[in-house]
Amino acid sequence: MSCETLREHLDDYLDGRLAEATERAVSEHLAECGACSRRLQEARDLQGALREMAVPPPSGDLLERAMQARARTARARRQMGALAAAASLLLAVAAGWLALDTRQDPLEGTRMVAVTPNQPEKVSLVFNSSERLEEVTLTVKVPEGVELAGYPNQRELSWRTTLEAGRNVLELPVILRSITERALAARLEHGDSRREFRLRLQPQEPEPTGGLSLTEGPAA
Amino acid sequence: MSSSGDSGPAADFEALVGPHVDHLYRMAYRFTGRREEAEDLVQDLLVKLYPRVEELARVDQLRPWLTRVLYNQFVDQHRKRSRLRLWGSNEDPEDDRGDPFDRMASDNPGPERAVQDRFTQAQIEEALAQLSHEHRAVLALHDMEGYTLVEMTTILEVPTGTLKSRLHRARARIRRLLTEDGTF
Repeated sequence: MSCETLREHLDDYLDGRLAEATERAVSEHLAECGACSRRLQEARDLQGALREMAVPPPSGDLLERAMQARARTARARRQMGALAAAASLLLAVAAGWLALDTRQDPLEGTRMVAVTPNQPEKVSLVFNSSERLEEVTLTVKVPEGVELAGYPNQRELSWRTTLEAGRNVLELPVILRSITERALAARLEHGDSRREFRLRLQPQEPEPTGGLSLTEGPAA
Repeated sequence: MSSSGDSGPAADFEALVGPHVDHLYRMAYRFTGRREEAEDLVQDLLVKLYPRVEELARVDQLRPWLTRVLYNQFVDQHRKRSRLRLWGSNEDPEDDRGDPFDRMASDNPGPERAVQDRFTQAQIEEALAQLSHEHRAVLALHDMEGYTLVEMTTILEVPTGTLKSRLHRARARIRRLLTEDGTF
């Protein structure tokens, strides 16, 4: 057997997969050839080294973490459903604004709420409007340092819906991830009309109270 | 373990999958070579599998089935990452392996520990990291975890003959890498 042929059989020899006659021929060659013998030893060393490669333990209970992640996802989906429904209502009211009032609304502009950083806070936007309006788009822009609970990487959310007259509430489950103030922007569009609001999120010390709300008053 | 005292589907899921989580993490680590990636891979898999608890209950040999699904997920993520990497072609490929301190957990033998006399864990990790995911997978399953080629056909869904030649090429490649490194 030549050295080249031996190299072809080396792996099968290591794994014990050679036919008896071939295995005997390999063994005879190895007994006479120092270079091939060294090659076999190197291959055995590598196999042994691979078998001994350590696996560091995980940093926590993976099943528990997965179950928690699943629960968070389910919760976020439910919140998102509620959010979409609330957004529909909001759009209806705001559409009334958009249709009826082309002046600068005194309520338009910037409002501020205090929120506890790094925990979900419900921020409610309440809108009143006098008439129904269709095809209104609401866009919420989430700045760096703020996230919507369950959607850590979502920087913009947009809905298109029909608005009804009356009082409408949009609850935004926000988490302030910053120790400095951030501003959330909401935009309402209907046809050529557009209204923008900014909601400043001011960090505060943790309090035992629940959600916070921002109320927008009635339209013109 | 029950994470929240759940009953019903959650308890069924934990009872079914729980005994295999350590194995899945071990295999995920073999495939990825990084603890954080391995943990993410397993967690993503478990979250995806949760709604399929009834299907899981019907699987005859759950461990190889789970290992196969894990491997498929690993390949999917690997491909996605490869596509993304097109944007960062000027980046130093070394950077992709993350913070070197991540690979030096206290319970990890560390790069200086000799695995056999000839190699260090760090040298082999570096060589493994340069292999294709197919080559890495066959070495992980066969040479590290002791799977037979027949068992591997179920997991990798590749015929035995193909696996045998793939294993041969993977070994040749890693030997060559370690030779270039001056190790072999």
